[in-house]
Amino acid sequence: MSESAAAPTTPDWDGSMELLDRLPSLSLEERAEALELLLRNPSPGVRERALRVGATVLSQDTLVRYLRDDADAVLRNAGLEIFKLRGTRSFSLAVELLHDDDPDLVLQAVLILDHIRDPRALEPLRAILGHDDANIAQAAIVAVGRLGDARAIPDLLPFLEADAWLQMAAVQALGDLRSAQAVPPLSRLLTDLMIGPLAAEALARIGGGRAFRSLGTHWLRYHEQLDPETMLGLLAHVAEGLQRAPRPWDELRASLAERLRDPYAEVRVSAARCLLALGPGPEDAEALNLLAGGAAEAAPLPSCLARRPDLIGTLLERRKVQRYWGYLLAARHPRQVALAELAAALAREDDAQQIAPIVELLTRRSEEGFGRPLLDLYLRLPRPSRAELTPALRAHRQAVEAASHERPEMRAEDRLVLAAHLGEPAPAIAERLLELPESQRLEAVSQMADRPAVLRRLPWKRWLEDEPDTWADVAAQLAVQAGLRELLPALRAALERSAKPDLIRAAGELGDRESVPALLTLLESGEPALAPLVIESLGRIGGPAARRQLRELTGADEPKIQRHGFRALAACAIDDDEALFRESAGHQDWLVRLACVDVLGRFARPENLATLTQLAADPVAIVSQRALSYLER
Amino acid sequence: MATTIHPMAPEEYQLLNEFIAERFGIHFPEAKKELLATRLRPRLQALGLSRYMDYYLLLQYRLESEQEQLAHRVTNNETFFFRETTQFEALLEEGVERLRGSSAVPGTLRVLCAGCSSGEEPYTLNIFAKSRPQALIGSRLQIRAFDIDAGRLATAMRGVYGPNSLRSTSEEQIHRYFARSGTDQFTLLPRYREDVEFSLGNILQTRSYRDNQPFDVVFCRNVFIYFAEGPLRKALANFASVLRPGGLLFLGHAESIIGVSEQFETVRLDRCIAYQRKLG
Repeated sequence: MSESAAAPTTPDWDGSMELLDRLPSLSLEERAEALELLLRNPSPGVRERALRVGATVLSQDTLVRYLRDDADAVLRNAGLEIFKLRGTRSFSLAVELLHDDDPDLVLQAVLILDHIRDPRALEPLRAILGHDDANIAQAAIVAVGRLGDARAIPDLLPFLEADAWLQMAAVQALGDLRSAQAVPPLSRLLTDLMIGPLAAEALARIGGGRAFRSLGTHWLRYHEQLDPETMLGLLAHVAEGLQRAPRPWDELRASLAERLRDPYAEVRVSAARCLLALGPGPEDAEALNLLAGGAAEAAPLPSCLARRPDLIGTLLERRKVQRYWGYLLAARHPRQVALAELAAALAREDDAQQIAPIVELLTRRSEEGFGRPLLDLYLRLPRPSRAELTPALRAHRQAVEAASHERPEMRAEDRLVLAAHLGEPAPAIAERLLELPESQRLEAVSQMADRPAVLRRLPWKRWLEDEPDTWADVAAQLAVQAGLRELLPALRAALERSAKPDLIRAAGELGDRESVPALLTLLESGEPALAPLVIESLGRIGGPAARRQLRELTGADEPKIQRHGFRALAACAIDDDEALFRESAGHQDWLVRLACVDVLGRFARPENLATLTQLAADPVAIVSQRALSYLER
Repeated sequence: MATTIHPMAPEEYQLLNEFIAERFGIHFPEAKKELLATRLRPRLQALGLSRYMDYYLLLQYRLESEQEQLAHRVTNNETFFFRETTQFEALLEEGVERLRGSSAVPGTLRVLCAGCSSGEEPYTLNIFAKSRPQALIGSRLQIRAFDIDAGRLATAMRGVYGPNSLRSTSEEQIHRYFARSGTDQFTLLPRYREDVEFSLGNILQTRSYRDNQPFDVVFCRNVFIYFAEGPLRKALANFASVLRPGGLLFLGHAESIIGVSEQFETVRLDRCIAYQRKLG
């Protein structure tokens, strides 16, 4: 097909989608023909799916033929893309093609090796660095750089003196290799109009004190001609990566301080990052505000603050993300912040977003004095978030207990849940829970998921019988979260009375085979929208009765029920089900084909492997990838 | 105890991705799988669900009440005042002239902002229009804006914004167009909120376009970069059906529909590329 002068016509978008859906049911030869049509489709989505199938279906000879096809750029590009998609499986062929007589093919081979980045490619690529064809040499230089092996540095340094095309490649490669040796020659290239920006980027990737000095000097000398957004971004990147703060550099600081009021936000933020990374200075407050301006609420600690424990106090006095950074920084330098300062910050805290760094910090600080602020914080948080403070509460248990005795106004259920979070023995907690007025009990019990020993002592059967609407959801959720199979009889009885989604889910999660009759009844006469959930739960439970029903559902008229039936059956399939999944491997629904892969891969017999091979050429990536992973085992 | 959430399995990603693309058009490519997982995780946590599959199943039986929560988490709200203003300038400098005389309703230039998030884009356009009355001689600008996220629409209707929305707004512009209404809070002045009407709507659903059509201009910027191809085609068909022949469609700078729809052709307006609904 590819050799014909006029390229075949590709179907339109709808036709291509239809052909892609039909691919699994075609023979391998037919698929190859269909692929050559699909590869010509202008839609990136269609082409990408066709390439992925091609990576499995097309033979190596066919792909090499594509690569050699000068008359058909579509197929030549497709060959290259498919070899890339095949990853390390393309390695040997690519190395072999490096010796081909056709320079275009050699170039393609270099590009494939560049893409797959197999360390074994180093020597073959080094061997062609001096290739006569400048395009091949250039691609090889870039590829060697990306391999990241410093042994290649001496080979690359001479190219810094070569013509511009190779020089640019060498600059990029030396940056990729983080070559400190390359700092002086790259610094000399900074003033080159064409190579200069590339050299600056390479220096930034190399990093370290010498690169910083070089970029800083360059900025001071030529800032009027340079693009401030790029240069300050690079400078900030290098400053943040320095092992220790550089020597004071007033001239640079003054220049950066001016840029804090630049009209462009990116420039302002880069200058702020740079100044903060350089160490304490009068611009700190302004720089922090700029840095926080565009940051998300729980953004990770910016690198420019990592060496700035002196800013902990300032940050803890701020709001939102700045305070979040204050806690993170304090957790990183736990001894560098005074107890009073920290206690004051906790006393002001009311933001649940801040819990994680607070816990990290307080588990590293053991001195007394945190009891009252920690308890206050605990009580200010919304109840579902309070358990997250447990590690910190337990690290300061005595102090928190003492503080709680000074708070007579605390509600009884809050006091009880606090005792549970502090680790009071289960029998005592359970007894106190039963003494709580009913109106407060549900709230307290729902916060006990981390205390299964407490939950086991509670009268679930009675509660679920007397007040199913109140207790069913909480009981089901707690049973799943705490793995309480003891609750199953009570949950099952509740499920028979009421089709609540949490009860259905709990039956599946806990693998309760005795719930199967109730679930089957629900399938027959329950709310249709709940059917997928019921089917999924049956699959998680498994066993003969569930399987029998699921097998029936695989033949259901409604596609949605059918696909969920296949998926659930796959979860509990036994060898009796293999034939059904073999026969369904050409199903038009990818979820069904994925179920086939999972079952056939689990029961790895020759007849199943043949079908799996077919599924490895599936147009849907998840199906083909999983089939391949089973085949490779 | 916080629910422990299992990592998102490939099939869970695929199922949710299909569901989201079908409902909202948005597609999370494989490389953004973790982004999707991160955005949905707090919702699973709040619902006490440990698997993404459980959330997918919940969407099957509780779609009506959950749709808004899902939309809020998967749609992109990256927007701010005075973003990519060259298109607004191009519309007022050249586009209005081109559209005048054949506007959908004489004397009115009807603009639709589809996927308007919290309103910064339609309001910026309105600010531009009201600051350049000479560009609109004889015409009144009427902006309709819709978004799928009710929470963001509420922000739009309130017209109160924080520093993130104003990150490209100069002090002078803040002073001129906003009134300070609290620490880091600024309310857009009523004059610039007039003539902008917000509603809940989905780019993929034809009923979202029912009112006030046909339009002379549609803005749908930085929405399609997240769209799968099928929904993109559907959205363009919807735009073509509510945009009058000769009307203009503006997309984000990084977006192109060349080769995707035969109902539009590219036109150059000042320094911008726009798409014109073909005549006839």
